[in-house]
Amino acid sequence: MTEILKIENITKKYGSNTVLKNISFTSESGEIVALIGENGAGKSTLINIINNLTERSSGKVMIFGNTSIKDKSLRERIGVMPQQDISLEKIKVKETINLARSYYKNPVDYKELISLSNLKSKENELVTDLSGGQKRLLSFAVALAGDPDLIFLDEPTNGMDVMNREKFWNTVLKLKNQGKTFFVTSHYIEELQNIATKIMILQNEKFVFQGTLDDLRKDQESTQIQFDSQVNLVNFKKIESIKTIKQNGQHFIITTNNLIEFLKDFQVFYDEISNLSIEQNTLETIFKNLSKGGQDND
Amino acid sequence: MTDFIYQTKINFLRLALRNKSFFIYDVIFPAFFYLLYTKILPVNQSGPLTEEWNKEYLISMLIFSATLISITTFSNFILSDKQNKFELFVKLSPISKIQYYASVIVVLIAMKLISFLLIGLVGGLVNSIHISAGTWINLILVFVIGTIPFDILGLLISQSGNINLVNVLNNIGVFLLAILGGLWWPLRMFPEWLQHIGKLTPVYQLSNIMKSVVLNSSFHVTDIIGLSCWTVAFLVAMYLINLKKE
Repeated sequence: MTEILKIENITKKYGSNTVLKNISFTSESGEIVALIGENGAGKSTLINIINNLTERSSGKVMIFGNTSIKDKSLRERIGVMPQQDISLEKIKVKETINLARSYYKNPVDYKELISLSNLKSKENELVTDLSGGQKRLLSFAVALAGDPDLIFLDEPTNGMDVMNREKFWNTVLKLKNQGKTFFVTSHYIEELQNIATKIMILQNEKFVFQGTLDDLRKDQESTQIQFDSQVNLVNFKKIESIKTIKQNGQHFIITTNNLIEFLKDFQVFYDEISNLSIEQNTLETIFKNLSKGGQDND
Repeated sequence: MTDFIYQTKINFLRLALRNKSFFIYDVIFPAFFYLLYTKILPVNQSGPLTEEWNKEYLISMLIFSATLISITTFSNFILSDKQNKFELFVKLSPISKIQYYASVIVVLIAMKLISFLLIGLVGGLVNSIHISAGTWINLILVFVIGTIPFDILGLLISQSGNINLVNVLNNIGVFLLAILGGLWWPLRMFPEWLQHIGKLTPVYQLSNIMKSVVLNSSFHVTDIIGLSCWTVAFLVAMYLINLKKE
């Protein structure tokens, strides 16, 4: 695995307002890096800084070992699917894809691109006549036109139907297995957890987490246990592996980041509980919890 | 090179062949004005003065068409590309902005030649204007080179970034220049102070040069200097705007 992207201490300020502070990370070939954060956290700003669309206040960006993305030849190896679609007037889908291909020295074959984007039936239609989801697919085809090694996907599946989203992510996985690196932001967090090899959570100007989903589960409250019981709360609090515990009448909600240890300690209460359910936190739940900044603790 | 040809072909489809307003406003509208002022309004007129008027008015409408293409159509096209994120598309690709603009400029020249041909045909067929082949070639050359300042003005206007402002500036740019420059009515119809202003416009200067070509008379060097100054002024303004944006 080769290092593709290296970001060192990126800071971005708009006047006195700091959006990003000392952001650092690296990405290697064949990774799918998911960048998660609330609206306005700075995800698109970070992508724009890496792609030289926005000036950084300080820090360094190195792509393929090169610090200057202004070098147009670097653009041969980078593909970008921006958040806003390119919606050219008076031009057909086929023409848009071939236009994108004409910008690169070694473009992907047209038939392959139209197949990857699932727009074969729309190839002779005007771009302006496409639905929102279809325009996203076209933007994806355009991002892949130059056969890039590093691809940025900013909210890629907005407006796509379920079938197209599934096909889209299958395509991304297939390309990742060919050694391509993806850098993705998305609000559909449940999609990312199935494909991301690395997760980065951006909050309050910095990364609050970088690692795999398993690392994140170990780091955060990863499992939620719910049950009903007449046992006093104080007795449950003695279990060390409990992270947080909430009580609502006879209903209890417990979180733990060590399920096995918890179940060992909890077995003494098995005869005194009912309606037990165990749910491993999804990435979405972990993210929501991080955003809230902690759990209630009775 | 093949890529540039394909890019130019697509821009030609977008700007001209699939753009109804190009044919209606940029070609038919000036051609209609030409017919109105040379055939419909003047009744039973003929002779050398009429032929001279038919030639001069042809020049005026050719330039009017060029301003519509270079200023209105071009500025709207650039702004539309910006709003539709095509400019972003180019920024994210390996091609330079220069290549993008070069391909658009080639299309603009082709559009101006098309309008030149069609309006010229109207003049030739309707009014039997007699112009030698050599004069036509000289006219075309002067026309293509002389309308460059209007292309730059169109690009300048598109930098405002706002569709309403662009439309206002286009209307001011095209119609005010056309009137002040004497394209619609001869400048001698205006008060003297307005004539002085009109003579400073690039439209008037180009019109003078082209009329002297078609009438085989000598042209004033001041008109060439004037057009060149306008070109430089618009280029400087473009450079300053880009500097400010960066």
